[in-house]
Amino acid sequence: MAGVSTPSGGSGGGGSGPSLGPGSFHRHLVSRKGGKGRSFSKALAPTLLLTPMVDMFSMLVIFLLQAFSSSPELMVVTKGLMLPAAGSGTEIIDAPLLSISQEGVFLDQVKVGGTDQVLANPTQLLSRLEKLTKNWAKTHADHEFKGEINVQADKNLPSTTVAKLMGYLPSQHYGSIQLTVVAGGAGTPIAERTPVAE
Amino acid sequence: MGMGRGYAKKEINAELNLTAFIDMLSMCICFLLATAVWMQIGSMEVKQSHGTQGDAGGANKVEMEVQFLNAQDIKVSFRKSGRVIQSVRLKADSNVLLAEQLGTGLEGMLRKVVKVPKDFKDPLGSQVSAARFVPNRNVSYGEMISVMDVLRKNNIVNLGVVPVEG
Repeated sequence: MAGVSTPSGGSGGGGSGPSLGPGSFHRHLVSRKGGKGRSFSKALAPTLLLTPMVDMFSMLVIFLLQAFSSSPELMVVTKGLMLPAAGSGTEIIDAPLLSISQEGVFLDQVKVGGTDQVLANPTQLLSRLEKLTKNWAKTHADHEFKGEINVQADKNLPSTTVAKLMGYLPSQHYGSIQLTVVAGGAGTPIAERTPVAE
Repeated sequence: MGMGRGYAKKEINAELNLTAFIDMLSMCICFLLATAVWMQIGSMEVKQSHGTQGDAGGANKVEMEVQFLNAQDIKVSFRKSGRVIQSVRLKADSNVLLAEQLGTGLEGMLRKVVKVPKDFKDPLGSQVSAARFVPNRNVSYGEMISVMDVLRKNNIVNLGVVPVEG
């Protein structure tokens, strides 16, 4: 970057004598002649048009900033979890996050226990959900509790496992379950399908 | 200025240090591209049919039940006032084909069970009060979502999942 000279940089190198102004080297390269009277058809140094380049950079930065600032709520996807694809997904909402993966069940990124363990004994999950509801009620005294919760589950898990865990949620007043999906749509092959455990 | 006072010859055009400016812009672009989230995440609302009013619907509307027999085999039933009025079994070679088959055949199924006036212009899926999914342990969650997605695309938005034992 540091060695780039402007094509219009000749303004600094004016004068009658052989001065070494800022644009003199550039002018020398552009107007260089061949050794035996032949002139080069092309300039040796390609000129870099700085004005459109800076314009393009600025536009790119503005576009990227605008595109990312207008994106909806971001959600952390638990490591090792493959989300299913769906084309009819809507914007995600700000709500507690229940993650169900092969490794275990997580509530707001805190592990509740192994999936089988939570299925067999959901007491810990239910108590944590109750605590979340109470905390929400304390912090949102003027708002009605909508019972919304985001559920992200691994697409290779048996549907009954996810359904059974979802079945515990209404007991803690979480009736509106938002299943997290990746924008894809019908027809997207469910890749790498692993056999579901009996 | 015009009163005989000399004024300093100041440059009107401010000079911008282009090297530093381009460096900063390049770094900005690199940072924004590196930190961008390219995966578009959405959500699909489900109202649990047990314990909430998720499956409550209008008196004239029909209820739908999708029972997974396996990943490529489903039974679609339509109920009105608790009685089964139509039941269709769909089979395909893969779950993707099954979802496509359901997508193309759903309009025809609804035409048989939903009675609407001739000038009815809304999608027929809006006449389905709720759709309940009965999962199967041999069907993965991703495959269930792909079928749910077909229903949502046909304006059947009140979905519920029966928490059956796996």
